[in-house]
Amino acid sequence: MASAGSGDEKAAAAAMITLISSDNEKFEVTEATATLSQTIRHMIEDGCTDGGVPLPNVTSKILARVIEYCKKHATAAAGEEGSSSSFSDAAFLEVDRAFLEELEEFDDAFLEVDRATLFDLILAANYLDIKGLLNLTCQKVADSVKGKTPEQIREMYNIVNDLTPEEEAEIRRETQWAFE
Amino acid sequence: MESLSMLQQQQQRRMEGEPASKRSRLEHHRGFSDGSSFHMEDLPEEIQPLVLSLLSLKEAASTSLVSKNWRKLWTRTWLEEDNNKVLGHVFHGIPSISAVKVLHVHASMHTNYPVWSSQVHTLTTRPACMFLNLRHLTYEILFFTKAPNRYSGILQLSQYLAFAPQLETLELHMLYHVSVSRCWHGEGVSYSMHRHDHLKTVYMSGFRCYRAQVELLCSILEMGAVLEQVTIEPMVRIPYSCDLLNLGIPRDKIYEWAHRTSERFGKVITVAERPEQRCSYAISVECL
Repeated sequence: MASAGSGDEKAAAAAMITLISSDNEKFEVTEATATLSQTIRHMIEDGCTDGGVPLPNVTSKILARVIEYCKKHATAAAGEEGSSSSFSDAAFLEVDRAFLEELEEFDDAFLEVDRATLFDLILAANYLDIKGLLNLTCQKVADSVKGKTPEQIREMYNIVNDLTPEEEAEIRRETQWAFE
Repeated sequence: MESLSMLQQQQQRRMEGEPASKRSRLEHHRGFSDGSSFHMEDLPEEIQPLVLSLLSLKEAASTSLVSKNWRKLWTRTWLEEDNNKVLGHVFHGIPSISAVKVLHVHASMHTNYPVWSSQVHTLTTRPACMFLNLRHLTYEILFFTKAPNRYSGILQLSQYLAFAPQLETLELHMLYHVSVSRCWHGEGVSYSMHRHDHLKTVYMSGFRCYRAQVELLCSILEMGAVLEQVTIEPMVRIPYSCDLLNLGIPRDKIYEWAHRTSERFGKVITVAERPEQRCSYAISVECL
């Protein structure tokens, strides 16, 4: 974690995990960051992370981005899991809100990538089982077809319309409510 | 019985043996990578419905006109969506039964795809007076899902409870067809539920701290104004090859969660324990 350390952070920093990308690049991350991935969390719980965690599906370029995401969101997750006893509820909510706004800005900026990268991020998030990242990246794909006609979607993604006129008519009949 | 446990083993093997993106490993870098074309089928099969589910129902339906593959995807997702409504069927699918005081429902929920809270089916119109006199509701639910923490189908109940304003006792017996899965680590965010003024007793068996279970119970704890007794039981109580399903229950985690949540809401949550080895019809009947 980049921010100046409290005792907690130092303790977390002590437990480092090495992630190894498909092109053999090594990334050192804190356990708190790594465990945002359920896949890695399970590996840690099962005690099989000595000597690094090989991720043959993830390139160094994508892994670097994924780690960037996890670092940012690990702080949020820590707040969510730990007890909030040291704060009064109101104060805690206030801190929460400011942080959530910052997180949202981060997410928006994070998604400014080309389609190939977005696609790879989805695959990585799926493989590593990082729900937040998966939802975020899928939302971006969903947004890209939002409010578009079928023709516009085809054009945007170079999709050939292989539906016969009969099938088209059938779909229109079945889902008439959607086209009203 | 034998075929059932075989099914379970297969399911478990599938859960543990295959990373989520085994398929995608093979299909990686097809199309899309040049940045110009994108086919829904380039995404792993389990991801496609997720994308579609993030659209409004209307938008998702209209994508079925794009191509054959998009149409297939829509049909698949729609069926899943439909399945997610299964619990609500009782509240809007059967004729008025306003005189009924005790109701026992058995439901199966099948899903292979993630369903998020935002997708939880909600009723737009309230069935008037239908369950006006209902006092005791028992739900037995079988879940067929690969990832219990991602499936939020039972959250519908938190809303449907508003339709049974006189309800005093809610019994929920759950069975997930996954023998080993982790407790959800997050804090339970309570889901939109109306204040309930009569619910006194809540009993949930097969409670393994899966996300939807946690969120449902947190809603009830928050909105149940007169709650007296809340009991969770980690053991599965539905008579259905219990032995396998009751192996490796993460008891300490469940106790810890119950303790934490009791303090959070200021209401006692009792964790019920019964002899593990004797999960039979007799015991199940006794607790129903």
